[in-house]
Amino acid sequence: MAPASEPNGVEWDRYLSRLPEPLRLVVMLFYFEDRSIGEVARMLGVAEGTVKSQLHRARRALADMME
Amino acid sequence: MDCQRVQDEILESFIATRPADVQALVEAHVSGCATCAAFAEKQRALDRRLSAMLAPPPLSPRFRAAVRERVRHERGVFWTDLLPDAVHFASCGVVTVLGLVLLPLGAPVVLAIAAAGTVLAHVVLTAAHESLDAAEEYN
Repeated sequence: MAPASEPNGVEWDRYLSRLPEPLRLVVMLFYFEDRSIGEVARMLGVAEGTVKSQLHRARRALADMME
Repeated sequence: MDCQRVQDEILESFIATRPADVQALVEAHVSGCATCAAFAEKQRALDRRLSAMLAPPPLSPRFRAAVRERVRHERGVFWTDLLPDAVHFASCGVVTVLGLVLLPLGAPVVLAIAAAGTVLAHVVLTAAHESLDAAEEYN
């Protein structure tokens, strides 16, 4: 199977817009703003474990979208 | 370790470093489980795409110099650009006046020495500016 082409900015916008709001937020903060798990947790007022589990769910969803 | 736990560990490994013993258990499971191997590959592909998206675009070495030149061209000359030269000539003027008052030499001699010193210092100052600009362009 040929590898999928790299998504551009517009495609990333589309993928991210399909994520539920809390997941989109942690992805934006962790990956796109390069915040640590602790910083994201403090900014959102949630536990670090919650941020991690939201990142897990977001990664599963994004990987499925890009298949 | 069951598949669910292994996949959680795979996801966690993209967020934080995992203990070596846990990583070894995950690798042992993945090597014998097609489902988890495919899951790991999908996550690696996602990570590559995230990295590609977030990496700054490659720029030619001349790009920054060209941008700086363009900015300089577009903004024209600000008074702040002329400040070092203004300070230089003002300082030389003050030193010349002091030389005329304090040195036991005739005015033509003092003025000739001051003019030569001013020109020499200006040449050195300009050369230093150009060297700094060149060094910045390579950084």
